[in-house]
Amino acid sequence: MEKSEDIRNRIKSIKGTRKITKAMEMIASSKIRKAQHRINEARGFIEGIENVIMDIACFSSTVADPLLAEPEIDNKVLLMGVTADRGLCGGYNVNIIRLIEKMIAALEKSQRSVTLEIIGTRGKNYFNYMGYKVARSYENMSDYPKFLDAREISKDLMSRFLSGQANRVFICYTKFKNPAEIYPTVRQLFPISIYESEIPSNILNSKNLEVFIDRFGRNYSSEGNLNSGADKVMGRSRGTVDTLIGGRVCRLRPEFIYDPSLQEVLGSMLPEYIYSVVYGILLESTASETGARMTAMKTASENADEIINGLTLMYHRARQQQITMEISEIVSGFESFNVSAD
Amino acid sequence: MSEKEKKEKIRITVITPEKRVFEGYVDYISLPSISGSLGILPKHMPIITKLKIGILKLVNEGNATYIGVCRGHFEFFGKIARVLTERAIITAYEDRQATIAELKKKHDITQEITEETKKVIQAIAGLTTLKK
Repeated sequence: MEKSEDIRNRIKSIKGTRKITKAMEMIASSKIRKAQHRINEARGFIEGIENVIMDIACFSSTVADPLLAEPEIDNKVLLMGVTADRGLCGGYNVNIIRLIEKMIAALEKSQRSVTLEIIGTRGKNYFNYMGYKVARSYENMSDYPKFLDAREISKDLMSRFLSGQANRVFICYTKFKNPAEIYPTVRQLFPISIYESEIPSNILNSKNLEVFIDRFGRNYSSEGNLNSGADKVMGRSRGTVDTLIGGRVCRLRPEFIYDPSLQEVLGSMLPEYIYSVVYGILLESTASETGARMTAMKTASENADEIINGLTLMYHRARQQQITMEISEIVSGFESFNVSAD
Repeated sequence: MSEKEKKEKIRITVITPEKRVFEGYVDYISLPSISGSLGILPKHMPIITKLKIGILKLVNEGNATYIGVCRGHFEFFGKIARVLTERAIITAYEDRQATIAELKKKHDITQEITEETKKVIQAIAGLTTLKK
């Protein structure tokens, strides 16, 4: 058995670690409240923009925009992965990195070239280490993402999509439901399609990813669309706003006045929508990271407690054993002294 | 406010991505639309407009609230109005000009930064191609 001194030192060091994990847990739990609040605010904004776009889509479904157009050639894909800047957050980074890898594999299997962009130091380091070519990486924003950051990122993505450097843009991020339920998710950013553009993680496996990619490879706009029948009759062009309706029932409303013009309103509305979506994605990822860190640190603190309990027991046993040994040594020494005195 | 009174008024929300700046019932809205100042009373025709930097004036029972908005969109239909803007500051009547100046200043700075960053990125890209 170990010496009681050694065990005491181990207990001391574990108590130190426990203090750190406990502190990290408390920091994460206070941060997560703020993060949840920010998500709710951003969701309100996104919903507002979605509603306005829906109103436009319901009444003027023939208006087209390049951001909505399905690509004719579809072989270049830009994949954006959102990871954390720091570790110690349980399976958060591993799960999202695994999803990105699966996505790359599925895209390459379908004969598409993939450009990889990464947000977050962890992901960047991993993909560089594994030999993937990371075209661009953004760092130092997983702690407190700002709207301007989101705008810069989405502007860059948008210009690449419009210039034809990428025919399709996907983003892999972690969806936040509550601190215990976070899901790695894939979402299509460009061409814009508001509904059914996400797949939840509970059906995420390589086969489903291929189906997901394949579905977008076809003319997705005419599927499950209220106006799909009319599409065929009127021969509407691709990339019109009715791709956004996606099976939702339009509320009956009179026609709108557009100032300055419908095309211009839509043209400025769609980028705004993408900025806010990317902002929402960054916020959700941050909240998921904090949630994962909180859970991980909670488990770590509990484990530390368990180890300390076990070690304390062992320490007492060792100490008692030592005392027993010392007593028996004294007694036997005394006995031998008595024997020799006789 | 009674239900009957509410029915006569416009319900307006001013939302930015970071927070919900204003929510309430008003009698009259004056807004800085891209093609000029625009006034909205209840029963106005449904309208969607682009906003420029300026002051949004909300009048409720004679009391005016001024909100500085920095670009965005305004939608009105039925009795519901929605202002979606990147940034909004609630301000006083005397500070209107200062608010506009501040919104413009911040806006310009971000524009400058993005232009500068773009130039730097382009320069770096040019250098790397030269290197190859």
